[in-house]
Amino acid sequence: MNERGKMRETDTLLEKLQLAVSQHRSEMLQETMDEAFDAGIKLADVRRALTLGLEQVRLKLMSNETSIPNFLLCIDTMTQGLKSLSALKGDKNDVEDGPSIVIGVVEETLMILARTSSRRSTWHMVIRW
Amino acid sequence: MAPFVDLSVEASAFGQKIIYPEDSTPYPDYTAPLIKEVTDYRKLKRVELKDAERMKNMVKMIYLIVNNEGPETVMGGFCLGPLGVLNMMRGAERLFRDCINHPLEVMAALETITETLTEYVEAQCDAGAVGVALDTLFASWNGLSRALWEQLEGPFARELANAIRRRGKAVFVHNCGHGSYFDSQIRFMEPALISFAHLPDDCSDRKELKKRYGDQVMLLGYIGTPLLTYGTPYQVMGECKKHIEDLASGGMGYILAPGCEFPPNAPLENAIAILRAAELYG
Repeated sequence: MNERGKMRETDTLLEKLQLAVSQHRSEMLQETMDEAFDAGIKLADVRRALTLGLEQVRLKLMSNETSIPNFLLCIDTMTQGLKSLSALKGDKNDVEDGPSIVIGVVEETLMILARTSSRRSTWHMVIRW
Repeated sequence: MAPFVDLSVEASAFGQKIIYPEDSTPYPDYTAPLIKEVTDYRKLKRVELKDAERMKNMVKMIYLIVNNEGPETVMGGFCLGPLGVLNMMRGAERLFRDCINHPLEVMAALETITETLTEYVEAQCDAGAVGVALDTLFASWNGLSRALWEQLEGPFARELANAIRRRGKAVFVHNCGHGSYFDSQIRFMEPALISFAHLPDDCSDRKELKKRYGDQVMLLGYIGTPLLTYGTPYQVMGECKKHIEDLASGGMGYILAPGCEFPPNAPLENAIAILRAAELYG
């Protein structure tokens, strides 16, 4: 495959990774990640694609085009991808440690939140890279 | 008058562990959810009212107020919707996922809960409540998508509403979520009144809300609870004035009220400010 073909393949795989996260398709994510690793795509690029996939959903959530349950499942898919990356990090030293990503879910009813702010809030899903 | 309730009454009947803080309202112990696994949804058993201490107390309270206050006191009942009750026993994060991944399991539990709640709302009606408010918080941006709410909770909310109407009482809806789905809730429950804390998803301002829904339901709300907690009486009165101007005239009517509740820690001067605003501008 020539250079242009390789770049096109890379772009396609990265777009598929974004799609897998934004549509919380776990199997598709795993298959595409395997393909991406086989194609020699950098872990940092894979991580960026996962992040962009979640960012698409976050923006939709902010504009009420998607729901919280859907967003949570997308987070799960991204977490799955990050875990796969973490497992490979030792083998492929092409990515530096980044900051921790903290995604919070407040376990309270809206009414209680409205009057007590986050006094009893708990935080979940700390994803460390 | 609406009952003094918290949202853990119904869940406690099923055996959910509840925490009772000294300085606030009770809430479920989220570290010990009754529904621990997906398989637990189908294990939920119907609870009869005679065995549900706090629900019985609620009914008793309605009865006592209706029978001891004068005829000028109008007493309404309250019942958290089935999905809200399930949320108290499963935790929002887990329930949200289950609604998409295991809808049939969720619906099995909702059916059981609805059986229990049906007896509960009927008892409130029989105790003298003029109507019962069903809290369907999940029909909003804070909960499920519109389609998923209509699939999961809509039919059960309709069952409860029909039970209230069969008793000859009015159905009220309470939803303090952002972007509440007024049209879906009206279609499933046909309420006489909607109590709300934020504009519905298809309205951009109060005037549009009045135009779109004012002829279908009486509107109740929606002075913000943060304002009631942190604002001055002067600010509260100013906000009330705006609401009255935009919502009061025409249609099925309007009741000036907090959007959700009067917060337990808010200064009572702000409650008086609402009353004064109603007298001055209403």
